[in-house]
Amino acid sequence: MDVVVFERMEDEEVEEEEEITEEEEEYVKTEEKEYKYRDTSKDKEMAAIMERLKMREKKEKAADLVSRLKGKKKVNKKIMPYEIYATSGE
Amino acid sequence: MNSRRKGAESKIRGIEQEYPVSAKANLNPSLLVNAAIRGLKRRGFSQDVVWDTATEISQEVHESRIASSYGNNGCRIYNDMGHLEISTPSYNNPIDAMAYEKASEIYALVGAREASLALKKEVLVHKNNVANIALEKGVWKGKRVKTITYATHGNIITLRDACKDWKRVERALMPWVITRIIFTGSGDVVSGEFIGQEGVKFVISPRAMFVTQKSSLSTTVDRGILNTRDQPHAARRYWRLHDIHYEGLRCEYSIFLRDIAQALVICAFEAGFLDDAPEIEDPVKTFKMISTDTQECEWKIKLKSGEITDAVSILKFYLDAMEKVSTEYGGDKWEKRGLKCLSRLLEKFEARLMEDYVDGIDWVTKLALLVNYEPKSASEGISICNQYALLDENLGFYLKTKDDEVKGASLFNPKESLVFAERELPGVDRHSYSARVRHALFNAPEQTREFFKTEMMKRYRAHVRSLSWSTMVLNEAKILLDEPFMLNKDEMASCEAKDMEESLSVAKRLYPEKVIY
Repeated sequence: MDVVVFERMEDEEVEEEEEITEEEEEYVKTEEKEYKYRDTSKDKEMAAIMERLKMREKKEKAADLVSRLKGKKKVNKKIMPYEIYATSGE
Repeated sequence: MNSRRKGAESKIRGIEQEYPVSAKANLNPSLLVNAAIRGLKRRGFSQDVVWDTATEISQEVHESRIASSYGNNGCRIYNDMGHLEISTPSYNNPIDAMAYEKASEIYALVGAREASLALKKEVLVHKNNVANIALEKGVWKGKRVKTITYATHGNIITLRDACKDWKRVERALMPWVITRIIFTGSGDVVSGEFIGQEGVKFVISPRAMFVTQKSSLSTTVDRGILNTRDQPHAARRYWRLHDIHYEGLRCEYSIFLRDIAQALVICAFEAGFLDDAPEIEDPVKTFKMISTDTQECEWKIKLKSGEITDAVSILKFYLDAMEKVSTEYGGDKWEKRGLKCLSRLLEKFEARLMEDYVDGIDWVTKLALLVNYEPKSASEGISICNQYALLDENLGFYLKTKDDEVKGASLFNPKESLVFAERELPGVDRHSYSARVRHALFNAPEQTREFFKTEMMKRYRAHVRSLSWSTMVLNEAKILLDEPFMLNKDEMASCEAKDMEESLSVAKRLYPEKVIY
């Protein structure tokens, strides 16, 4: 779930999850494609794979941030319609 | 005096916060702000003063016409274009940074409460940087939201020589301002129009969304990442870096870390350790991209060299420079603790474990609130963020001498913020910190020139004709306070002046050329 607060938030959630998967695949493909043009020695190959795995792990962890924030704050106060009436300025 | 201070403690800094004061009744914001300022005076928090703008080389014409009040702790209070602006007194350590920010929040709340009483309307005050307005009155379903902004400015005195070449300033500091938002961003929802969508979008740094260029003099239109204002509020050998990308933070931990990290970055900049900072290919676009990347948190950055990196890696470059400068020039306990905390934070953020910073970092805390409250509409999302920014009786938590329940409707929880700060910041104890906040309400920082000014204002108010950050004009003499640490408590205490005449002669003895009879 991206915390983009739309009027129809639930619909957005599903779309966002699909987008992540597509992007993820695309990202790996691009990385692999780029890799073909690089140095082909074993060490470099290993380093590239490790780097890619690290990036994937990072992305997976980050994409999960919203679910990991679940339960991290109590929901014990009534949400009031606080609007700020202010002028723009510095 | 100043020469014996090294590292971060030699850097004098302060924060200007613009508080929006609003009422449901359609009242002119200036009317509300003026009522708040009068209320603060009525309650004995401040006094009217002639602010000596003639001695401050101002590049913004409207500033010379602003009427000011002087807070009992040395803060300046004024109505800046319909906002209640409170500029903290200057300080030189992160504990004072936290305490004077909280004191400023309490001043703003007292002002709003007094305005409520005077106007017989509910008057609210928030600490944030954006207001979201439905373009069709009362119709949120139309989804068109306009976001306006007001500011939190950070100030830090640096050496003019270091800032002579603005290209050097940009090279050294722009990547810092862009990437630090991952721990200094206040988080808020802004109009989806910023990213070409409907509704609103949660961003890490709402202020980043209003940037259009690398550097600017203006703070209100065509904002730059860096601000070129040349107004030192001190002798000409200084330059006051006027940073328009601070944000309205409430968590003590992030206020602490922002303060000490900024001071160390400026030390590193002066020492030339940032001259080879990574160059970002498109700084404006990158600033916004990092701010909007709350989903995958890749915070990807393309450098001019063509290399792709991320915000955490750039911050590690700055951490190295901070460690280097701290080892060579400074190293007081707060520096060491700040560096340790920043290093730990970057390790966690490297692994994208941001959830460990709920109650420590504002944007993470607000995101956690949004996730758990599950807003079903744009207006609910806006309300949640606004309710976090609301200043209300929960600030009373800092005024109590022992732990108690946190009252009020605000979604910011001071107790949880302090528990986090106590856990993550060695040497910070919430009970002594609360005592420091109470002290900060009516006393200036002891290490800076604010000490002399506030003491003179308290004891000899009738003699004061005008003052500014760097001057004080009495009936009897003019004192040029252009060295930020001059006439602080240590200097004045060594002399034990019994009356005003004696105070002035002590000041004259210490600074013969700066006290003019």
